[in-house]
Amino acid sequence: MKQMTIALLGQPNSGKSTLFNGLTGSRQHVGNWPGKTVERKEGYFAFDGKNYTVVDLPGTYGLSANSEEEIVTREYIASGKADLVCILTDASQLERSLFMLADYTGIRTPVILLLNMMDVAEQQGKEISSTSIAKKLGIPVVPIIAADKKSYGDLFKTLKEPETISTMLDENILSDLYKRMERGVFKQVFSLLPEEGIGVYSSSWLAAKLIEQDSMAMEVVWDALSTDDRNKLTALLSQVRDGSLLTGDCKFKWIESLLRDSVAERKKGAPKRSRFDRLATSKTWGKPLSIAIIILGLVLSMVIAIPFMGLFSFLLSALSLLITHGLSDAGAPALIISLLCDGVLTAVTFALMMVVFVFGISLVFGFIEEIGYMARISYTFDNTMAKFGLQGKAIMPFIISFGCNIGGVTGTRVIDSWGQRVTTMALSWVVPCAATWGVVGLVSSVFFGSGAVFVVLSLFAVALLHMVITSKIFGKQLIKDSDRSGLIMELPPYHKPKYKNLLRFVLNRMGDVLIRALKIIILVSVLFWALSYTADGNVENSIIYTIGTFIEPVTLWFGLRWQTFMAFIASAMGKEAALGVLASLFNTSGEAAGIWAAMSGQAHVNTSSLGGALLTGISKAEALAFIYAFFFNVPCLMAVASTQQESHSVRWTFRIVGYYIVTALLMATLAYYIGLLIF
Amino acid sequence: MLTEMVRMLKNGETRSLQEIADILKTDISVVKAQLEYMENQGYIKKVALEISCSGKNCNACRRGSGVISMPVMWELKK
Ligand SMILES: Nc1nc2c(ncn2[C@@H]2O[C@H](COP(=O)(O)OP(=O)(O)OP(=O)(O)O)[C@@H](O)[C@H]2O)c(=O)[nH]1
Ligand SMILES: [Mg+2]
Repeated sequence: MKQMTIALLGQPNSGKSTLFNGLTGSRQHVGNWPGKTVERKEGYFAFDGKNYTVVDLPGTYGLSANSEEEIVTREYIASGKADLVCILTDASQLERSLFMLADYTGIRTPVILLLNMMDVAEQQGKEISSTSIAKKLGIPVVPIIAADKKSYGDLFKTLKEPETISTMLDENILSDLYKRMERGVFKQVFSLLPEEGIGVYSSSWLAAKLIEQDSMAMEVVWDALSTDDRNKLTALLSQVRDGSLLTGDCKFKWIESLLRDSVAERKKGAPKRSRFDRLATSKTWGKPLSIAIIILGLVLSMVIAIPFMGLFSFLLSALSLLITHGLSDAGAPALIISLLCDGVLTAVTFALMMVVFVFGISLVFGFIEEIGYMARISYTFDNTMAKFGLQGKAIMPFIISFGCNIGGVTGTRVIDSWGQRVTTMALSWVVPCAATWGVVGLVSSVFFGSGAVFVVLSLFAVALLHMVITSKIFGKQLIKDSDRSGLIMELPPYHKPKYKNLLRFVLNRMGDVLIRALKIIILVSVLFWALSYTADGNVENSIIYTIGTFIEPVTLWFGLRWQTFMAFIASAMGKEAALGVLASLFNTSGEAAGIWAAMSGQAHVNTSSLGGALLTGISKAEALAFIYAFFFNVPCLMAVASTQQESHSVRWTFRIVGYYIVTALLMATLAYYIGLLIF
Repeated sequence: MLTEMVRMLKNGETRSLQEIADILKTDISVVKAQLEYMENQGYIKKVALEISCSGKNCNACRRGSGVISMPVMWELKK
């Protein structure tokens, strides 16, 4: 024979086109497959006195005929136009890429198996014995690196051998596996088919495809059967459930038997499961461990942040003094100086302090994630989600909410059932976003010093309780389908953190929080500054004071002064806004004194000791009440808007908002009275 | 093996690849190959997480290039 056609068959990215180009060079013809939009590539080369035509088939997962590509491939293979089929597999992942060969087994066109990407396999420390595989298959098995033409030697040698195009792939091992299929389905189907097969297909191959409900195989078989057998076949097949799972199982068992004793892996790339991982994913210890790690992270982030607080307030006092003197010497109006020092400068300091807390928490969370532990947290909390009546994947929006609640709300799209989605949104609101965490860290450090750690821990404990109760309240009406579908999770291997990535992540997040905080805090503090401004300098004549003192008798029930109550209300717009309100309303010695009195020497001192100003204003119990009210408040206006968008329900959005405001005030009241007992 | 995995999913069980490999007495790479097959056959699908928030340059829920790395999860296709 002077002319021979070779078809290249393989899964996508197995290297067909690379080999095709390597073999044929510029002698190529590109067109379309008849009636299809799929590209048809044919090339030519001559070797050892023979002319070869190479056909680059579209990459497909297997030989089912679902997509256009698959139909082209399947029809070409069935046509028998190829004298030889070269199946390309990725040697670095034979378990999956040998599926094509398994799906081909039973087609009676001569075939050789190419183990491509041998360079990658070698890098992974895999030693593949092609002779062992060849013996089991009864066909030539050729290792190759398609990208390196120098490695084509073995392939050419194989092409030269006359038996290459006369030996067939041994299908017996696979057929035997098929025959052991449950309830003897395969045997029964097989017995209806002609013993010698039909065309290029063996009966075993056809029987397997029939069980997979393959319509093209049905067409082939239909004409070859008597009416009686047709009826028997239809009756048989109608009883088969999940046929592709049954045959797939056999194919993978076949692949495993093929690879057994044929692949040796030098155990350098595959680390053994460490004792730590056994603990981290254990049913009993996994959860306590992740909680301990999160708590450690929180404490650590406060330890990092607190020293910076002192530094920033020192800088603020120095700067404020400087500006005041400089501006008043230059004859600037008192109004401007007051606005700058009391409004803007304090706001900037607050924003900076907040960001320091974000630094610590992002660092810890980023690290946990960078080493691959975050995935374990999702895994260990799966059954907790079940207790909330939620799908396991609901953990995803919760984790995202630690960064931003808006992201968390949109992340609930992973959940299919509407009721579960709305419940997940309602629950995710309680997860503190980066900004919430910044403000809570800042305010509790100002009031409680190192005791702030306990305040924060109590917040997290109560937040968990809040979630339990919220899930009960909302779940009762929203979650009707208790059916829970399972999950299979891929836990990535632990790895050394890439510090560059980590740093970039931390800085990015800090930058985002800082910019947002600056904008909101300055805006809000200037607004409140204006509201408390009076021409005569007496704050008692200002609008805000009038409103504030009017509502205070009520807000005191919750342990909130009128100033902290306003900060609470403002924080529903955006958590940072609370700091803006505090900055403008508490920035003076007495709570009622106007900040425009900044020209007096007294005011300099007060502005400088930022925490001091807050401290003189409110008691510790009141501060605790505020922190609780703030923490459990609605996350921000944007989160409310996204909740409405995502849930498509104004009614439920309002219910959640109402629920959060009521519970926040309830928490504040409780915290206040408990605080009174403690302090 | 494949039917066993589908049964576990229908049963509402959550398993890691390692657990499944242990139960089925095989390697993770084999389990992954089988999952790919089942995905291809339309039995299961990967859980795809999409997040969007208003801030275009918001990094709060993303890190550098991608979304916070969630574990890859598979679930039954309804
Ligand atoms: N390291 C290495 N890379 C290879 C080898 N063979 C191919 N590649 C690379 O693998 C990728 C996919 O190769 P292709 O030849 O396009 O794969 P294909 O089978 O034609 O893919 P589809 O056309 O999508 O079906 C390319 O980036 C190649 O450079 C090899 O032996 N070693
Ligand atoms: Mg290609």
